[in-house]
Amino acid sequence: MDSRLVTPYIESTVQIIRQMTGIEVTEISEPMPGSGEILAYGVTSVIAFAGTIKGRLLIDFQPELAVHIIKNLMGEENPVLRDRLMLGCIAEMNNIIAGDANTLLNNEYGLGLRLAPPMVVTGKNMMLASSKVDSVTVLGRTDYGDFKLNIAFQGGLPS
Amino acid sequence: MKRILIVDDSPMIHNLLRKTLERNGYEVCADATNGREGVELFETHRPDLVFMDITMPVMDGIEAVKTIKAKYPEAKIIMLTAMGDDEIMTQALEAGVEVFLKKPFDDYKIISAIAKVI
Repeated sequence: MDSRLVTPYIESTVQIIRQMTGIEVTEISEPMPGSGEILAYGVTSVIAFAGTIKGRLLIDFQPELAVHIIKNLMGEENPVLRDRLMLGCIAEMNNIIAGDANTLLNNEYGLGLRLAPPMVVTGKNMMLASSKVDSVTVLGRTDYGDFKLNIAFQGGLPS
Repeated sequence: MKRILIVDDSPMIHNLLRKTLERNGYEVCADATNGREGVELFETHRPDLVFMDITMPVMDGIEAVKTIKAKYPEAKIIMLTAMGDDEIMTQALEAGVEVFLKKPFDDYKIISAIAKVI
């Protein structure tokens, strides 16, 4: 996949997690071609977007990291992961990350990407599958747990 | 005390923005979760200021701003949204918003924007 479509999501993820929660991403892998199947860590948010091309951003957190994110965001001492407001935090963070990256792509390449409402699912070792879509996976690490990004697009940048 | 209406479909944004506003001496007079509800609550409460998201169900924020401004041109509205590209910013400003802010936010960003408007 064209790295110009991928890099903004990686950079926005690192920056927004730091800005909103104070949590530093200590390691981030190179983008790896996705197989179409993702074995989830446990707290997974997906947001789709469409303009001149279509795509989606999936962010999957280990539950310990999701708990720390919510704790730092909301000031909750013992957040319950299945609570609607708590899961809403993860969805909104994905919304803000995708919005930030899409803003850059729209201004740079005129893609006109617009966000659909995000969704969140929880469950360890869930298998998430999507076919007929070009995707890459990026693994990230923080002091509180790991996360993965899966960035997918149908179509490429205009030549 | 200045009264503020929050229109956003995210409970997290309501929660964080309310905390930010209240600790800086503002009153949140109502919360709406979509544009249509935002228009209705504006008419009921006539707040000094509105924080408005764009992407929401039922009625989006741009449409809600146009509806409010058509009837109440003196209304003060700050757009607070995840998307901030040139096209969407132009649409928001043409609809009549006073200030356009991109999420995420902190106290400084919010309070500076309010100071420009009221």
